[in-house]
Amino acid sequence: MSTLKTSEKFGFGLYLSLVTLAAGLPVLLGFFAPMWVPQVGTPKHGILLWSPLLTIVFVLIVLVLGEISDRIVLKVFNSASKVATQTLQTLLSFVVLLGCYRLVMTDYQAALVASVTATLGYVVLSPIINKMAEKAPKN
Amino acid sequence: MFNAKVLRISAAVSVSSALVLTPLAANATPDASPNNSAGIVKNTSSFSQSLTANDWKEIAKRASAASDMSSARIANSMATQKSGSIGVAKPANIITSLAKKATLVALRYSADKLPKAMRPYAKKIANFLEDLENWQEGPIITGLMALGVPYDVASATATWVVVFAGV
Repeated sequence: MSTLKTSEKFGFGLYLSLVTLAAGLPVLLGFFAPMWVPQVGTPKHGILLWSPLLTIVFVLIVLVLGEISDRIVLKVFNSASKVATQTLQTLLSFVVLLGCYRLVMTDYQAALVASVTATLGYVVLSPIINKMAEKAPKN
Repeated sequence: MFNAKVLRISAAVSVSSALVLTPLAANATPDASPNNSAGIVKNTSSFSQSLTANDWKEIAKRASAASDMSSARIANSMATQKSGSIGVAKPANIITSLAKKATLVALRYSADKLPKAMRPYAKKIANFLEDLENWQEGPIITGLMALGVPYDVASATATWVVVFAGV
C-alpha cells in the first residue's frame, strides 16, 4: 500500500503538472507569439491568464493524438518511405496543435503563428533536449 | 525416450516464455525464492534487464559469428531497445517525440528534488512513459501497478493524465 498522504498525492499531481508545463515551454511561448505581430490576430480576451493550464492540456492532447495518428499513418501507409511517413506524422501533429491554438485565438493566422512558434521552439531546443536526455539520470 | 524429449521441449518453451514475460513476471513475484521456477524467472529477468546496449551488441556479434542468426536478430533488437530508451531523438514525429522527450527529461532531472516518499514513483512513471503506447486510464493503472507503484498512486496518476487528456 502507498505511504503517500492525501496532501502528498495532491503535491505529486501538482509536480506532474509542472513537469508537463516545463516540457511545454515552446507551446506556452506560442500563446504570446501573436502579440508580436498583432495584425494577424491576438489571443482571445483573458486567455493569457489561463495559458499555463492550457499549455498542459495542449501538450497532453498533442502527445495523445500524436500517438494515435502516428499509428494510423504507419498502418495506412505502411509501404511508404520512412521520410514520407515521418513528414506526414509531423504534419498531423502540427495540425492538431494548430486546431488547439485556433480555439483560443481570434484569427486563424494568429493560431498559425502560434503553432509555427511552438514547433520552431521545439526544433531550436532539440539539441538541448537531446543533450539533457543523454545525461539524464536513469534510475 | 519420447517423454524425455517432450520434457526437454517443455522446459525450453518455459524458459522462452519466461524471457518474453520477464518484466511482468519479475514484478508479479517479488518474494519468490530463487529455488523455485518463479525465482529463476526473476533472476533471469533482472539479469537480462541489467544488460546494457553494448552487452546486447556483443551478444549479437558473437551469435552472428556462430551463425546463429535468429539469436543475433533478437540481441540486436534488444540493443536497439536499450539504446533507444532515452537517447538521441529519432527523426520520427518531430513535435511529439520532442515533447515526450522534454517531459521525460523534466521528470528525470526533477525526481531527485522530490520528497523521498514520492521519488521512486516519479522514476517509475518516467520509465513507464518511455514505453507507453496508450494513454488510457486502465492500461496506465495496470502498467504502473506492474512496475510496483501502489494502486492509489497509480490511479491518481492515471486520473491526472486522463482528466487533462480527455480521451
